[in-house]
Amino acid sequence: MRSTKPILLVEDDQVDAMTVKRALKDIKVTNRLDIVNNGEEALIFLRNPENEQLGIILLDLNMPRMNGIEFLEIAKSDDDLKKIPIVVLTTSKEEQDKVDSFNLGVAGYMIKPVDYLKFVEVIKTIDLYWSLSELPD
Amino acid sequence: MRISAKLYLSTIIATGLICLLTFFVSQYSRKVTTAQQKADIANQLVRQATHLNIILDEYLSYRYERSEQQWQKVSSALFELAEKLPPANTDLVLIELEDISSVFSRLKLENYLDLKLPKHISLSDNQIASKEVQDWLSSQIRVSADNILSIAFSLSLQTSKEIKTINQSTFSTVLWFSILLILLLITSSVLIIRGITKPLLALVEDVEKIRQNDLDKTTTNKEDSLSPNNKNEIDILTQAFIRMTTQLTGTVQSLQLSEERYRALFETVGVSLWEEDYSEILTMFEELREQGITDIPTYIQEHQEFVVEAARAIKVLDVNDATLKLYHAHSKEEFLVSLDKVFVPESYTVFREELVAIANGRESFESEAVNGTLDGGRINVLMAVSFPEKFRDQGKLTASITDITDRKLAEKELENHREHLQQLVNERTSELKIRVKEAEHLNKAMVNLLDDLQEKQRQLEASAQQLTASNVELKEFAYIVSHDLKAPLRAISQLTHWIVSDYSEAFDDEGRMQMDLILQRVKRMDGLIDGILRYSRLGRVREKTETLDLNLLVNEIIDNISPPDTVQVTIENKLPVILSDSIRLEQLFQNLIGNAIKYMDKDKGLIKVGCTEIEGYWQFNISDNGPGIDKKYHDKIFQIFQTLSPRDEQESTGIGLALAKKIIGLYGGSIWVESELGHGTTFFFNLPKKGEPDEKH
Repeated sequence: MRSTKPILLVEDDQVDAMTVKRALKDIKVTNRLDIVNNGEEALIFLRNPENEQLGIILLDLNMPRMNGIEFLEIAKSDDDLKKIPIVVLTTSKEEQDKVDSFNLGVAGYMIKPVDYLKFVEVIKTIDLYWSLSELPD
Repeated sequence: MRISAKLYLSTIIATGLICLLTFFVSQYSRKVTTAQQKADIANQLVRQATHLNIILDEYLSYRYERSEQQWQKVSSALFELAEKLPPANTDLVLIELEDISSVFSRLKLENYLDLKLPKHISLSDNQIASKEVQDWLSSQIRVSADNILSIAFSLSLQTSKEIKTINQSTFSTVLWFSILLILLLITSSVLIIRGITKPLLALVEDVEKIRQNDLDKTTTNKEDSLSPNNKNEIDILTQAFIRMTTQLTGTVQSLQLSEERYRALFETVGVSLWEEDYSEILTMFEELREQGITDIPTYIQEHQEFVVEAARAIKVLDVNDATLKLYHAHSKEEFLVSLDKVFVPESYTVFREELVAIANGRESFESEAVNGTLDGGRINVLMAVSFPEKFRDQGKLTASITDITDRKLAEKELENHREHLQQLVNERTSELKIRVKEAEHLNKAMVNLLDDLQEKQRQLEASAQQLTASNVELKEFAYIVSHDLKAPLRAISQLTHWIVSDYSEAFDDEGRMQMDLILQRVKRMDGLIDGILRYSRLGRVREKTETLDLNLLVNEIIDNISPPDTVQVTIENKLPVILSDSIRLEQLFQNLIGNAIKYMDKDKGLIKVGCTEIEGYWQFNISDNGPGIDKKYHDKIFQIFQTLSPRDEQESTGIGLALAKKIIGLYGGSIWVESELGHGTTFFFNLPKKGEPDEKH
């Protein structure tokens, strides 16, 4: 990542979380990774003034309590939170999910591949993109 | 105007003359009065003067006091009278009177001083009573008195002369005036009478001429003979009269014209017209009323002989040509004498009704009747009789007869037809009744059927609802299932990866192979789950129908698949343009072509895609020169999850053909295979035409 700002991962599955973590390590991304398990926890985390400003959010859609779409709705209507780029990282190929996500202004929508190596490629692509793309301060 | 002016004028002149006359007469009487007064005074004067003399004598004789008083009285009276005399005489009289007074006072006072005595008389010293003096004085008085007398007499004479003249003049004036007046009266009367009587007589003549209908010969026709300035009342009357005659002439003319037109119309109109006189019938009615019969209509109904008599009482005055034609008469004369042939016995009933109508005071009557023609035939007629109230006094009526024989015949025929029709109708009605009963039975059966159908429909709807519900369930289920099944797979895959990479030193070849197998199996499962999802989604998701050029589509698929160099995929003939949804069709071709490539065992693989047009269908064929399929598996291969070779040899989900079959099934087509082991394979499938655009160029 360009900046050193931390990355927030919103993901409930333990193994998927481990996968992201490992993948980031493999491509030598050193930004801090924070993990929360669902939308609610994400909001609490984000609203906590002690926490640093984030660089990017990686968001799973299928989560208990508050799922990804619901989180997106709230985050993108919040003036502070909507500035943070969100990339959806999900298994869902459903057209409706894609439509909803982009309607709510996600920065990207990536399908989690089953194969780990392919997964790493996906993370690498995200990293490459956000290394190049500018962000407002 | 002039007549009244004349009258006024004469009246004014007469009045003027009379006024003048009156004036003159009054003047005369005034003059006479004055003269008489003068005479009166003169007489009085005489009397007083005489009286004076007497008193004087008396006084001189007796010297009574009374006499003196009287003398004063007379003296003052004389003075008074003198004043009333005309001025010329007054002075003279006054002189004398003064003389008298002075002398008398001398006498009274015996004052003889300064007296001028005549020569033969002288005053003695005894001035008291000289009789001579006294006598002389008294004679002086008498002389004066005498003078007064003569003055008075002359005055009297004068006055009587005056009166005489006045009388004469007055008489002549009156005479002349009367003459004038008479002349005036005579003249004006003559003039006025002449001005009135002459034109009036002319008018009377003209009235007589009009009465005798000689309007043109009227003398007052000449309106221009009167000059507009000279208009008097008679002229105005004359002019009005002229206007009236002109109008009258016009009216009479137009009346005559009207009469002629009516006559012409009467004669030439195509309908039979009669002019009749029924005044005798009215008289008959009157007689009935005199007899005390008040309800004439009932009387008419009850007394047929009255009807017959009344019929005879009607006089036919005139008929027109159309009548002659209708009744086949040669001339009016012939017709008018042959009326009994016209009014056949059947006509009397209608005639009775006509009589009732007349008696009831109606103004018209219409009825159908039967009349006879002069050559013995019978005709049906419509008679319309008109006897308006206005003309009742004249007792005239007009009747019009229309020949309705044809109409009557037509009516009769119509009646026959109608009866016949009625009969037919009755027959048909009874037939229909039977049919209706049958129809009712059918109807009942249909109603039952409908109820059944409705029940079935309800069931269908219920099933449809259930289907929709289960579809939704299935969709959610499939989604959840795939997601929830895939997640652990992903975990297994990833963990295995990491174990292999993190603990690679701990693994030997055997171990690594086993790890690989784990990964392989995981991948397979993933594929199977996807396959299930795809298969289940078929038919649930509605895709969009569009016009597809299959040539482009298939080429695109071939590109996507990117067959290896050893395999060549060609399109044999021009593929049609069809209406379908692209995704399904892509899947279809992809599956079949993909299969062909996958299972190609030859070094030079040839895959051909073609299409033929069959009645209502497009028949496609995909053939390859691959290994071929044994006949016994021709059905099995279309089952889901069926693979020809074990999965370890050929990684295959085994749903490709099942999917293809399902897709084609949805379109209402069919798919089958023609193949022999070792002789290649051809897959056939047909799609029904859906009203596609004609692509034959």
